This record gives sequence, structure tokens and C-alpha cells, in this order.
Amino acid sequence: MIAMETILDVQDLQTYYRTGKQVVPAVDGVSFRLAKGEVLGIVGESGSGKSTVVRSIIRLLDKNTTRIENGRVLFRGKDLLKLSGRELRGIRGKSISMVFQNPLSSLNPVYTIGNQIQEAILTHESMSRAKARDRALHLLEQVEIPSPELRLDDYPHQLSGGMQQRVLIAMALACQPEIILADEPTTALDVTIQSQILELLSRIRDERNMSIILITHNMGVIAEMCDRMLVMYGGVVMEEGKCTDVFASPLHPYTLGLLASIPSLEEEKEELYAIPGQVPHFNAPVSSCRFCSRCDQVFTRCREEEPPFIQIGDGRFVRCWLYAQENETNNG
Amino acid sequence: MDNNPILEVKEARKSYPVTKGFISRKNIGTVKAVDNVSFNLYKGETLGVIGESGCGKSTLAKLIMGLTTLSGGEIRLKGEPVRPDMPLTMRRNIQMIFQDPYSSLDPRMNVRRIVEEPLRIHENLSKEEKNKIVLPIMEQVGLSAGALDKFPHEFSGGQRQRIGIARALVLNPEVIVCDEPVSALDVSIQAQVLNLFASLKKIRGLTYIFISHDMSVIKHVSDRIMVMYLGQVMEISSKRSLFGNARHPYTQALMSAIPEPNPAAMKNRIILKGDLPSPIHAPAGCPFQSRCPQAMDKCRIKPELKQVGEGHYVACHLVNEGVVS
Repeated sequence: MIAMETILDVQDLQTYYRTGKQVVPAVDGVSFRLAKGEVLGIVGESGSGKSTVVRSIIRLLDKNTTRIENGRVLFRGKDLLKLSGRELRGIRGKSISMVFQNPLSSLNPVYTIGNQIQEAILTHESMSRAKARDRALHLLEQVEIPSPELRLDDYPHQLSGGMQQRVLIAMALACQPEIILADEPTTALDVTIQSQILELLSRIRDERNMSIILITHNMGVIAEMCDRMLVMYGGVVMEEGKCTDVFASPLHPYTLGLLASIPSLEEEKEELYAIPGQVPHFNAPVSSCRFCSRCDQVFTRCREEEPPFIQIGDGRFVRCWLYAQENETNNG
Repeated sequence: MDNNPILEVKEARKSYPVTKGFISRKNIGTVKAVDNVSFNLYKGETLGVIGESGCGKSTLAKLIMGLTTLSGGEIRLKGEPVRPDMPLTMRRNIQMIFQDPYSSLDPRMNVRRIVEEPLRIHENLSKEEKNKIVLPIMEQVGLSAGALDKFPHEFSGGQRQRIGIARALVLNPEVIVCDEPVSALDVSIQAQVLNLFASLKKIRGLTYIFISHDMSVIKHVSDRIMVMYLGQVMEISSKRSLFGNARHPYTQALMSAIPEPNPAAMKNRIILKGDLPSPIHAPAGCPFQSRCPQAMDKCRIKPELKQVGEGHYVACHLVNEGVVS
């Protein structure tokens, strides 16, 4: 691959939740880069910290319970974590916008969808209402909503889930963003509607050369949509690489387990592989591999030290002592 | 399929009135939630029911459980009609596992009360006798005996689902209706619960009706599969025949819509246009005609389920035309 222009650079991001006396390391040292025009997938089970990562990027977090402890998020040379509220609002919804999981609860039930799209436009650009309405109409056309002039005056509850998600995508596109953060955009939808929305997102990406960070728990969606992927568990990235590489030869025992536990359409399996146990709760600081209690290849070192993020190949990383050992024995 | 079916569903119908107005409650139409569904369920098999939201799969589950009255047709469990007022001796043969492991367990009961509740209703047993039934079941579903004295909030989603399964098993039922039992769980936990269903089936010779919207889950658990759309059966067949030779355009689209966890497998995707029509304004004739890529004039007449192979039935005019091979 040619070295592409990096548009977003997340460095050692740490976001902690405080609940009572406990400190929960929801995101504990996550770094990645997003290139222009790239679709980056973040996959993980509930509680892995994937949503907190993207919410930290545009600081959509509850200030009372959440603190970004450390890290930098560089967007066009600026650290988003250091911007004032006013400066951040100039970027949020304009250069970086977000599509949420549950379309009905993300739309305001008492305003028409036309009104809500116009609001997104008028917040960032000064133009007449009539012009903004034209732009909203054009956006609805782009996201393939049938008879958009009629839908503009509909309220959210008058639309189906798939149509609501299209409206949210239209709002996210309103100011021609460079990055879209999509947090489980198809999880609430039926499969036939999901494939429509995924096709729409990849078409928009191709037309506008936008970058997308796509969060999902569905490995199939990642395989279909993404160029590169991060596998998250317990607040850290366990594995990173190009999708083709990760699916062809998963390295981390967690990634292997995740892939093996999906029932396959192609082959018959008598019994599915099941990762034993359940996602544990972590308290900061963590001093072992976060997966060690469920890993089937665990050894002493895993319980004593957290493994580093080890580079295996070109853009390929894994956080597992199995691979560190290999290097050491080779060297010695 | 040697002997008699354990459950017979014949032309089952359920429609709900659609009302308008808060006080006058005028009837403005009906929703046919389940429309003319027939199938037989044989002992020891798993029938997978798949469909998108609003296709009537949960209403069908309610009808089979006798939780709501039929608007037409009949359902027989071991020859006896299933009704909301059926006797307890019959009801204990069919139990249900629900989708949401959070709302289906009473937060104020401990696990012992939850799991023993069916026994309290159906039998009159001493503490020791109840323990004799409950303890082996807790072991079978993978929970320790110590769990009995805890409350639901102390468990994770996967463990709660195990509690729900234990509750369904204590009466030793023959048929279990599972309504989306794994869709609220993470994949690694989903695999654990699916394996549990398989092992219980082996140990206890259970018969399942397994409802899901996830084709890969349905394929994993089922012996036979029924595809539903807007309250009607589109296709019903053995798993092998359905996956080898799906005949209905809807089944084909449903299968091709599933994202495969394999970037190398670039398949020819059939992307359906439009949304599911509202069941209130379901099109006359074939319910799928508004989205079908192969719709024709004839589809305004409702197609009957036609046999196309051994145990393989399809409701589509294309089959008669010989267009679909």
C-alpha cells in the first residue's frame, strides 16, 4: 500500500470512568492512525471500550463520571483534547460527525426531519433557511430516501428504522465531513436493511473519499466494509492489521476465539468453539494480560505482566506474550 | 419422521384489530400477524423459524404456547388442542425461553424461587424433593448450586439465560419454544449458550422450536427451517435442502444479505429495494411482491405452498413457472 495521508492520529488515549470509589479503565492506552479515504473497523464485545474510544475523539462524554486521563487526538495538526468547547463545536458535526446506533432515540421526536437536518447545516454555515432546505432535500436524495420532498416534513416516528438511519447519515453528511464515526450503525436493523445501509456507506465513502471509523460487534460487517481493523478487549487493542491479514491468519487467542465462536454459513460444525468464562471487570492499574483468565494458551508470564503491543509485520500488531517469546528465543 | 408429530399447526391465524382514537376506539383494520401457517413438529427435531421484524415469529410462539387465542385454524400438542385455558397437565409439556435475560427474570426473587416456581405451580413437593429435581438441572445448565441463593442482578447476561433455561427444564417438558434466546448475547457467550442447547437436546431428547433473525444461528441449530415474511410461510424445508437449493427469492435475498466473516468471499449480493411493508397495508397476493426482484403480474394472486422436493415447500409462482431451477 502507498503511504496515505494520515487524517486522524490517536496516541495513547486513556479514558477512565469513576463510579463511587472505583476507577474503571474503559480505554487504557489506545493508539491508531486513520488514513484519508480509509474505513477502519473497531470490533469487540460489550464493555471492550470501543464506543468510549470514538466518543473520546470528539469528547462526547459525561464530564461528571468520565475523564480523559492521558493521550492526544491529532486532527489536522490540532489536538482535539486540548481545544476549547467553542473550537471543538466548530469541528464536531462539521469536519468529524457521528452516526449513532439507535436511530429513533438519536432523532428529536418533536421536530420534522427537515428541520433537524437544517439545524445541522445552519449551526456551521450561514445561509438562508430556504437554501438550507434545498441542501437538506439534496442530502435526502443522496441517501436514497424515496420522494424526499414529502419526507422532509415528516416526523421521525413516521419513518421506518432503515429510513431513520438514512436520515442520520444525511445529517452526518450535511457539512461535508472528512471523518464519519459510525457507532454500530446497523445493529438495530434487519439484515436486508443492514445490507442497504452498508452499501450506502461504502458508496458515499467512494464518492467523497471520506474516512470512516466503524464500530461493530459483528465480524461479518468488518470483513465486508473495512480496510483495516482493531480488535479491542478490556479497554486495549489486542490486535491490529489489514482485514485481509487478520481474517486470513488471526494471531491473538482472543481474535481466534471470536472467529471460531461464530456459527458459519459455509461449513457444518458439530460444536462451536466457546471462549470460556465472561468478560471480567477491570480496576486500574491492570498488571496482567487482560485476556489471561479466559485464554486457552495462558502461561505464567501472562498473569504477571501486561504484554506490550508487538509489531509482527507491516502494520500488523498483537498484544500477546506468545509472540514476544518467539522473538526472544529467536534472538537468544 | 416415523411416528406421529408431537405438535401439529394447521392453518393457524392470528389477527389483531387496529384501532383509531383514544375514547371511541374505532376499528380501522386488522393486522394479520400470523396468516395461514401450517407445519408439523416431530419428536427430537429442531425447527428453526427465521424472519425479519414484524414477520409474526413471536406471535407464532405465543400461539404455540397457548398464551393467546387463535383467530382461526388449530394447534394440537400430542393430539390435544392448545388453548389459553388448556389444563396444567398439558401446559407442562411445552415451555418457553425468552429473548431478554434481563426482563424475563423477576429481580426480587432469588434464583431458587425463580427455578422452582414451575414446580410450585404444577406439583406439590417437599423441599428435598424439589432439590432433587433442581440440583441436577442446575448442573446440566452449567451453574453451581451456590447460585441458587443469589439474585438475578448478580449474574451476567449469559448466566441469566442459563437460569431461564433451567426454569424451562424443571418440569421436564417435551417441547421448548426458544424466542430469540441468544440475540441479546455477545458472540463468545452466544457460542456457550448454543452449545448448551445442543448438549441438552442430546441428554434429554428435547424438541425445539428455535426462533431467530440470524441465519447463521438458525443454520447451526436447526434440522428443518421455516422462512416467514409478513405472517406467512415463504419456504419450509430441511436444512440441507434449503441451503443447497433455496427456491424462494426472499430466502435467497436473506441468505445473501448476511455479512460473512471472510473478506475473500466476495459474493453476489442481492440487495432488496425498500422497506418491509407495514403489515396493516400488506399487499394483496404475495406479501413479498413489493420488494421482490422477480415480481410479475401473477404475484397479485396469493401463491400456495407447493412441494418442490422431499419435505421442501415453497410459496412462489416462479416455482410453477419452472423459472426457478
